[in-house]
Formats: sequence, structure tokens, C-alpha cells
Amino acid sequence: MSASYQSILWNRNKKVYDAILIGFVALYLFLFIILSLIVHPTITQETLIIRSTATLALLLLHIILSIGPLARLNPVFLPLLYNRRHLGVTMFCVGAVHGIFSIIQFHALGNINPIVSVFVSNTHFSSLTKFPFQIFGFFGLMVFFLMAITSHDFWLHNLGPRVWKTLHMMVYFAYISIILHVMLGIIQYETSPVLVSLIGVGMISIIALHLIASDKERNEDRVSANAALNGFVNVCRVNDIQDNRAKVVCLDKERIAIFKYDGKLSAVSNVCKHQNGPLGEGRIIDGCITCPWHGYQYLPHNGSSPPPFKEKVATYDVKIVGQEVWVNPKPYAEGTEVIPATLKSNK
Amino acid sequence: MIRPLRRYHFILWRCLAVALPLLFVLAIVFRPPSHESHYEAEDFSWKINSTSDSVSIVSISVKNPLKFPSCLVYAKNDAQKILVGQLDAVGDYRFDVPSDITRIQLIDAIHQQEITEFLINK
Repeated sequence: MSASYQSILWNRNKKVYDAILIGFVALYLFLFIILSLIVHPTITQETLIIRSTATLALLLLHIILSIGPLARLNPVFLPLLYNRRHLGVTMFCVGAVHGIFSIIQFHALGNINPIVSVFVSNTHFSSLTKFPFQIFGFFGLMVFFLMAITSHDFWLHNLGPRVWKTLHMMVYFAYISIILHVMLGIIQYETSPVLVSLIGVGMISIIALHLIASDKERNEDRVSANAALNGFVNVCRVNDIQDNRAKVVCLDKERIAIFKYDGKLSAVSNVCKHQNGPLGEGRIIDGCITCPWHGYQYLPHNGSSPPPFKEKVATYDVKIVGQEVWVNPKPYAEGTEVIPATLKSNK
Repeated sequence: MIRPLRRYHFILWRCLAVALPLLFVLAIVFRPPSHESHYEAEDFSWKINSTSDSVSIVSISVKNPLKFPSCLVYAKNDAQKILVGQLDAVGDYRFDVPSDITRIQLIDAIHQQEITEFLINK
């Protein structure tokens, strides 16, 4: 979280994350090259670069797509989410090396522009086995390029969360495109069952994780309130909420996080202004609600980030009757001060 | 994630859960049946992957440095002789050739001399 833009706000966690990432990339490339040279001693350097970067980029893409649902299913995986952008940019760079070398290798020796050649050199659009699969790879790479260059918070603020998130949700279409690129490309003439099996397992794993996570989210949205009173809805009991934590409920159109802290209850929107992270899964740290994704902070009683930051989320009326917690699902404007409900008033 | 995005995510992955495995199976089922021929020589190894499609794939591995000033690769049958590429150095080469060819021929173009020829077993 920063009041001004820097290229990267380095901290210890990010440095550790990136060191592990670079180490993994280097180790993978080293092992791939060594094994390839053992199995295919006459393999050319160009082919080695194209194959090693292709498989590495595909592996990184699967890891990236797994992090979101894994973090939804188990908070243990939240640290992986923290610096996922660097993972994404790394994946794009590796994919770009694959794309550039492939275009040079297969399209740069003709008398037409190599990029144009990707689209016009193969026109077997009606054949499954000879389909111009490189077009799918090119499209996927372009989406990753757009995502990589807009991954900085500068673009998040200037494009707005909705546009930015929509742009970055295109990763799913890029994934489809890359799967098509692989299935209509290498799988058509690669007879080794190992590669086919790995791609199949990776794809099934990604699909299964996303289905399980989306089912979990849907079930949470379905939990309905028990009763309504003067616009307030009974959502839970006081003891259901841990100290400095929140209970998340879905009322009306969006989720609300009810935080318990210092003997009080406050309710704010569950959606962080930064990247729509789940505020209700965060904690109260130094008196502020702290988003579990990237550490953006908000004061619980008014939903505003502490100065000099300017992010604000909607707030809600909350009251305690007996041991029951009641929330008014009608939101106040973002950053509106709301008097917290105090626990001792019920005693 | 806000609720519209959750709904979008929910619908999208249900569609993908059907479409991607279907595509995966189709891509494997409709993979062209291949007939693979393999040859070994002192300086070259060849693999010819004939398919039911109109294209076969010829993979040539040059195992030792070439002893000829030029080495052109021709695909031949009774009706035609097609220049498909050139071998330059030690390494793996891959050429698409028409599936109706019956032999692959290596020619030293400078000396107009045949280096070697392989018949393709169908």
C-alpha cells in the first residue's frame, strides 16, 4: 500500500517470493536442457529454447491459475497470492521468448513479414489436424502482454477496478487459447503419452479447483438471513465472530464483513478497493481492517484508509439485540462514519 | 471478487469443464493415424511419419559433421521430385512432404551427386 507510485514496493516477502521464483525458473530450464541433451543429443539450440520455454510457460500458467482457487479454499495458500503479479509477468516473459524464437525459426526466412506469416502461411482452417495452431498461441501471448503491462497499481487506479479486473479475467480466454495451441499443435504429432498425460492432468486439476472454489463461493452467497426487523437482518450471534476477525454474510447484492474489535462491532463492504480482495478474511491489525491479499487497510468505523491513503469502502449499520447481530443491508456511501455497536450495551 | 464476477466465474468454469475435456478428447481421437518408418545410417537417422492426411513428416538427424559441400533434401515419387529443404550441420531437421512420396533423396548439388536415398515403406 502506497500513497505514490513506485515501480515495485520491495519488502522482505516480495524479495523471498521473487528469489524462489527465479530459482525455480533457473532450475527448471537447467534440468530440461540437461535431460533433453541426454535424450536427444543432436537437438538444436533453437529447438531447445522453444521447447524449454514452452513447457515452463505452460507450467507457470497452471500454477498461476491454481493460486486463486487454492487461496479461496485454504488460507494457507494466501502467501502465494500476495505477489502473483510477478509470477504472471515472469510467465509472460518466458512465453514471449518461446513466441519470438518460434516466429524467428518458422516464419522469419520467407519474403513476408514474420508476424503476417503466422496468420497466412497456414490456411487449413477446415482441418483439425493441420489447423494453424500458432494463431492461438499468438492470441494468448497478446492477452498476457496486456496483462503484464497493466499489472502495476498505476493502471489499476487509472483504469478503475472494474475495467482492470475485467481485463485480467481475460486470462481464462488466454488459457483456452493456449490449450487450443497445444492440442492442435504439438499433440497432433507428438506420440509420447507422457506429454499428453501431463497436459490432461494439468487441465483437469485446474478445472476441478475452479469448480470446487466457485461452488464454495456460491454456497456462501446462498446463506440467507433468518429474519428481518425494521430493515435490519439477523445474521449471526455475537459469539460466532472471533476477536479482531470478521463474519462474512451475503445480503441483498453483495457480501458484508462484520468485524469484532475492542468490544465493538462494525460492518463494511467485503470488497477491497485494491483488487476486490475479501476484506472479511483479513484481520484487524493496528486498529485497521487489513486485506489478506495485499495488506490494504481501512478503519472499521468509517471504511476509509488511514491518511494519506484515499481508498474507501461502503459501511453499514449494525446493532446487537440480546446475543444476536443485526445488520442493515442498505449501504452508506463509501467512507461514511457509522457508530459501532458496543457489546457491553447488551449486558 | 464482487458478485457479478463470481457469477461470471461460476458460469465460465462450468462451460470450460465441458468444453476443454471434450476438445482434449477430440484432439486425440482425430489425431491422424500415423505409420512411422525409422532408418539408421552411419551419419544420419531418419524418421518418416506418414499420416492419412496429405502431409507426412520427415525428421532427419544429422549425427556427424557433413562430408559434402551441400546437402539438399528431395522428396520423390514416380511422377515428381520436390526440393523440400537443406541440411547444413549436425542437428535435427523436420520437413513436411506430400504423403504420396515413395523415397527421400539427399543430393550434393555442387557435384550433382546422390549422397543417399531411402525408400519409404507404406
